[in-house]
Amino acid sequence: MSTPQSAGSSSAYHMDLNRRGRVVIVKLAGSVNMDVCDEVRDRLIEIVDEEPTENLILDLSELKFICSVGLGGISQPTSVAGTTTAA
Amino acid sequence: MPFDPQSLPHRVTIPSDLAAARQIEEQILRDSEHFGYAPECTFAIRLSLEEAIVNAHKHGNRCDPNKTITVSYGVTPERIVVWVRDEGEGFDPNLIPDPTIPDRLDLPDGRGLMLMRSYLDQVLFNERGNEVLLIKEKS
Repeated sequence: MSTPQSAGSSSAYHMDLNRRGRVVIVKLAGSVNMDVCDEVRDRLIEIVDEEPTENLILDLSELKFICSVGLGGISQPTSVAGTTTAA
Repeated sequence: MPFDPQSLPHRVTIPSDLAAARQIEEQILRDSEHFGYAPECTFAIRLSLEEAIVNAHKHGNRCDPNKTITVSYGVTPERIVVWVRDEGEGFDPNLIPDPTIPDRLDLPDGRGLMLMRSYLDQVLFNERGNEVLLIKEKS
């Protein structure tokens, strides 16, 4: 599943979701700034709700920018899921 | 923080609104690119501006659209200087906890301040804590 977002050149991000067996992989790419932090957090919470797993990998290898609010936005849902965040 | 923001060539007062702040941020980034700042410097100032403006809007002005944020800035071949003021009561940066302490890793407080201090050469607050001066030297 792919969720492209384009809220302007400075805040465009892209979120991909893949499941491999019991592992859910969310790839977050692009730029997560103050404009889209809440949106990213809410989408991750939806994913955690819709794809229950104890093995969630958050792939940030192609994330170019994230602000501190964005860091909170990606850590909150993964903490709720009881998962480990890896960059 | 004995600093006179009038010494900076550009001064803008905007409503406490993130969209309005975005335009200033983009102008400062354009100026830094014009002066040939390395991508690492541009990244540092972008991140720090985000943090300072979010702090001013969210923590300083409490998201009150009737309040304002004032930004003064100057970009020269040597350094980028940005001064941000909100209308809030201010805060004591020394009381912000270290977000890297294991027990606080999941808590949101202090990450923005830590990032600014990590990426910039100077981050200075006035005594009241409603003004911050950001300085990034060209490396």
